Amino acid sequence: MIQQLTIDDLKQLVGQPWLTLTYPIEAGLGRRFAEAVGDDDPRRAAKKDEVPPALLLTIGFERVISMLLSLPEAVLHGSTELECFEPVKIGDVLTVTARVAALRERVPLTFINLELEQHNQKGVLVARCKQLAILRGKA
Amino acid sequence: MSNQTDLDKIAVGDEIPSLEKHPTTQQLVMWAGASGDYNPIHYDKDFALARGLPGVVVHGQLSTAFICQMLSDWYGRKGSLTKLNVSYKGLNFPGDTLTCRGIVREKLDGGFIALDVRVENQRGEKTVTGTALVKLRGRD
Repeated sequence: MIQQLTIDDLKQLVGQPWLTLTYPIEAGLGRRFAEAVGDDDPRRAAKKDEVPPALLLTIGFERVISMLLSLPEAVLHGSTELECFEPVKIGDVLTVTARVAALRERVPLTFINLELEQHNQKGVLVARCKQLAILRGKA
Repeated sequence: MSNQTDLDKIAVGDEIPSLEKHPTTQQLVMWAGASGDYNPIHYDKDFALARGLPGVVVHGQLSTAFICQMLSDWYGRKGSLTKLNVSYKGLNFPGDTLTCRGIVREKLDGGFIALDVRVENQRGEKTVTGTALVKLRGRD
C-alpha cells in the first residue's frame, strides 16, 4: 500500500531519513533488466555475476517514484547522478536509504532532489544515486 | 575508433563507438516492469496528453541505461563505471532513433577516463547530456 503524499509532507521530510528498503539482488532481476534495456552482450554474463551499473539507478527509486506518483502533479525526471564504489553481484542484499535532500518551488513546478545510498550485506557503501524529480502542477 | 580499451591508445577527443537504439512501447513496458517505474506518462497516452505531453515518453533512466550500455560495450570486462551524471534536456518517444555517443574529455591518473556523453534523436537534438568517469584496468 503506497502512502499518499502531499508536497507539504515532502517539505517536512527535507534532510530527514525517509525510506529504508531492502533488495535481494536475484539473478532474475538482472536478466529482466538486461532484456528491458536490450543489452544481450555475452561479456556481461562473463563478468562474474556482476550487475550492470544502470541497474543500481532503479534500486529503491521505484519505491520513491511510486510515492511521488500519489501526488496529483505530473512527475518528470530532471537529472540522474550515479556513483559506484564497489561491484554489486547476484546474491548481494542491498539496503537502500532514501532522503529528500532539497525541495524548491517555482510555480507551477516543484523541484525535488533525492539521494539514495545503497549498502551491501556487509554494510559497505556500494553506490550513491542522486535524482532530480520535477513535479508539474497546473499553473 | 575501434572497440578497445587500450589505455595508452586512448586520446582526448576520441569518440568511442556509438550505440543506436530504437525504443518501442513494448520496451517501455518491459522497462517499467524491470525498474518498477510505473509512471503512466510512459505507457498511457491519454494520461500523457492530459499532462500536456505530446504522447507517451521514454523513461529518462532507460535512456541513461542506454548510455551505460554504450560505455560498458566500450570498456569491456576490465573496466568499470565510477560515476555518471546526466541531465534530461528533451523528451524521447517510442519510434525515435536514439544514438548514444561518448567523447574522451580527459585522461586522469590511475586509469580513469572522463567522457562527455549524450543521447541524440534522429533530428540531431541532444535529449540527454552528461559526463561519465570510467576506470580502466589495463588491456582488455
